[in-house]
Amino acid sequence: MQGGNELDTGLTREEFLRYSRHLLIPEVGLEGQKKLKNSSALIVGTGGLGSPVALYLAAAGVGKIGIVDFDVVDQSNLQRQVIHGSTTIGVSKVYSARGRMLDLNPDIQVNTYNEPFSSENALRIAKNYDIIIDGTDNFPARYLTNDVCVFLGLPNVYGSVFRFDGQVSVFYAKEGPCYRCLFPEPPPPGLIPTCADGGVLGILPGTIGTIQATETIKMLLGIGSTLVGRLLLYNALDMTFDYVRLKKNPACRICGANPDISELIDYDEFCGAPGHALSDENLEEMWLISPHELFKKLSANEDFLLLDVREPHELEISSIKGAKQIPLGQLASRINELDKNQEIVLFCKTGNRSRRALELLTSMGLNKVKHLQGGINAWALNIDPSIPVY
Amino acid sequence: MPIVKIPAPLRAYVDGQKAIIIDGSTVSETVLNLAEKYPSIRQQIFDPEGRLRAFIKIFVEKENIKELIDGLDIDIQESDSLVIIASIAGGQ
Ligand SMILES: [Zn+2]
Repeated sequence: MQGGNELDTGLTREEFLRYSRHLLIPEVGLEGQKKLKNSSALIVGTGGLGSPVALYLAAAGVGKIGIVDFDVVDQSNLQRQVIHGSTTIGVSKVYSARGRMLDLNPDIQVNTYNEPFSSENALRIAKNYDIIIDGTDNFPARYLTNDVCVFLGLPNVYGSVFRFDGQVSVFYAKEGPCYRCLFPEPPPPGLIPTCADGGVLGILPGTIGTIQATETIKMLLGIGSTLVGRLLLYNALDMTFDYVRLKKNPACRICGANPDISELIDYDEFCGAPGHALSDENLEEMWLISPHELFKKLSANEDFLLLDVREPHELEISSIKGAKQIPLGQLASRINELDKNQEIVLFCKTGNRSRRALELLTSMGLNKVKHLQGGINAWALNIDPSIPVY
Repeated sequence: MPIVKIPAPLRAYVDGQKAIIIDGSTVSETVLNLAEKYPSIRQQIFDPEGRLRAFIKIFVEKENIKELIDGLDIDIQESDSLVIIASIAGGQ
């Protein structure tokens, strides 16, 4: 007997008990459980998607699980990031997650990487694992994760969410299309709202992450029909699961016939923005206005139009008196409501949508336009403490 | 007339609709008619040169089977649906 308590079957007595519901399924059984014990998975991101993935892979007995994240647990995470808790607010997410995983299953090994997943460290970290789960929240990290998987020949269990919609697939260039085959390029920065701007139903990443965990376990066991070559489209509001068939793209820049990407690149540059949020660094000062400058302008009763480009339901959360409201999505079709000669100050929640609106208005010939730096949240923090930050 | 299904991130540009009936006998004609009717969605779907953007995919749905199309010059029937998919990145 090894380790005092390990039977020659490869599992300890405790493990027989712990995994008895798996051992009863013919598709898993003792062989399958040993496979899981000897396999490894890397979860990139321990947020909304990463939470259920980490919990269920730990519970299932995947022997070695790596988790990468550089963030700390914040109050606003707990609406959906169920691996963390009130007692770990302010703690690094990877340590918070490891504590919960080892509580659930002390027999596994959890490796933590408390750093951003980047072109510098990604290959070094990922090469020690059998499969990668993409639980990231921005386009640069998603392209990076894909490319790492293609170069290392690993399956990439992909999931993403927006409001009530989720997408799941297994991108595996050896056997089917990769992420770049489906989406060769990300949307231009700001075109598609992020969850921080657009919101997400808290349980949605739970559903999508659980499906990612299911696909991971099937891939590790080598059972069933996986989502390789298929994209699952889930809608929580209609409760529909749709599938679309995907094809390998012969012109894919990384897994096609004549690939021109042969090493990791600068993904922020590729996606046209640093990280997942737009920054104002590249935007000339003439297009920006600070909360204090706006306050002065309003106090002086200057003649200008204050334009709120958020969605109507966000007005119930916070507003600035005297602002006209046109949601970003209607701006192009309601352009005739604006006076070309009047100065316009745009704002949204944090400045991403107002920047997009500014680009749209200037492209349509309105040049006396500025947008509020940091959005109404910055206004709440600096000028009007009576309204909430959200 | 074919039904065009709009992905959630683009619904704000078509008055919040999930699906819209749009005239057209090819994929290209239908999508251009959509952009004609809802000008705000044009710059989301097409780049300034008029090409379909690389984060948008269009599938033709026939009898519940959704197939990715290779080009826009594909004929479609009255009973077909066009399913537009946009790349999303949320996860935290
Ligand atoms: Zn590819």
